[in-house]
Amino acid sequence: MSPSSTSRQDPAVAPCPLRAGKGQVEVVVVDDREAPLSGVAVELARGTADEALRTRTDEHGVALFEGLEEGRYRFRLLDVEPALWRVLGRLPLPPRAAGAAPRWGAASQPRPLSWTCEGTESLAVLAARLGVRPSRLIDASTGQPLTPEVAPAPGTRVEVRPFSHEWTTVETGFRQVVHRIGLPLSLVVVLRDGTHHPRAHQPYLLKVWLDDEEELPAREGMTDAEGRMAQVLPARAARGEVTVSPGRDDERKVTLRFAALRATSAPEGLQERLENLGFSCGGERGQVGPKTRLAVEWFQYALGLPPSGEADEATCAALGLLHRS
Amino acid sequence: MSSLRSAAMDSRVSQLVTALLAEPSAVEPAWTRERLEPVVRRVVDRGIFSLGDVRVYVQLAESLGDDFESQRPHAWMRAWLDDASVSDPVARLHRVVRERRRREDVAAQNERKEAAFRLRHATVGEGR
Repeated sequence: MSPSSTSRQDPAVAPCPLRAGKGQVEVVVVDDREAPLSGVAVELARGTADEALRTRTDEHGVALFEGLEEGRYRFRLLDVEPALWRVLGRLPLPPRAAGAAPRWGAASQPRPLSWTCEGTESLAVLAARLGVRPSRLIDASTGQPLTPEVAPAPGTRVEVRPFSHEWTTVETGFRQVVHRIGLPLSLVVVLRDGTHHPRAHQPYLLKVWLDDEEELPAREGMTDAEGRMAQVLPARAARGEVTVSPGRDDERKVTLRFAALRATSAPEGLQERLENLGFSCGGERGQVGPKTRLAVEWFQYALGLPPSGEADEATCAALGLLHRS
Repeated sequence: MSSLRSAAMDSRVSQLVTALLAEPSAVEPAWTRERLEPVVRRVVDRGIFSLGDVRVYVQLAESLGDDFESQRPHAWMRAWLDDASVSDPVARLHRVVRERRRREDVAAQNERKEAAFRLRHATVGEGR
């Protein structure tokens, strides 16, 4: 028996497992615009063992594993479908001081991803939240795919079709650059003045807060010729605030709450759209009462449709078209 | 076995509380053993034992309130401190501290940006 194999097998002679190594692995995660992505969970495992280290990327998009023995490891993004991330390349790391010995734990097991809908999330929002493509979402009770245009009804249990969690091999001393492929959500708002004319070519400032109250950097822009403001939102955006035409008589500060609308055929969907377009339903929600019927009648009158007060197919279609959703 | 572990934890909490009370207090009213002990226990229960790291958590409690984890605006900190996607509890704590600083910076930058935006466009409007 050679001395090296003795030292490997005999715990009394083997190197202390807690001793820090000099090896480092750095994973940098970037989005579609190659900007660093923070908070992405990354797992690193030894070549064949079931032990792993987990961390999340910092504000520079960096997940650093240090104090490793030199050699080959495997890594993956946790809870992200393999189709939604890819390795762009690798670069050698500059020499650095050895870090503290890591605490290895059990590798995470794939867990079934599911979500009970509140009725206000679109399929794109649900997919982005669960880290998968919308086509991978199914209704848990029927096993059928969900319709992309309609937000699932409140209480619907949505599941993700199982996918394999693929690992990528990595060597110590290298920085891996990973592209997390995003599912962008667009916010389009048409800003109008008191006389219903578009606020064309006017400056605006948009502030956005995520669902955990994190405030994102404010964005400035200019509305287009039709008074439109368009911005890409992260999936976890919960509310926003737009200031338009500052310092002028018609300055407005508008509070936005981001949520998907219910279908036009549902009473709530009908009322939410009518309200957004300026046809008040007098506070009625969930049931079509006399005030909603009156709002429908005014809407039909404004569009030149026969004013029946009934939300028939033609009225719902016109409402969806005018509301652009 | 569990009572042995519990006794060891109690002893460690007591040591840390004593060490922290011996330090000059930066807040008014100063910490008392009764107030500080549950704060230190929360962080020790998460597997953070060194005095330096415990002090970092106590400083958070000093600036945000003893029970900051249960307050709505700071609830994200609790989620991050218990985030199993980061295996090292000390790394979780330092991640929370860094993130808090970053969020404060972003909020301050946004305020400056809004003031500049208002000033710039309001001035243009007056000039017309």
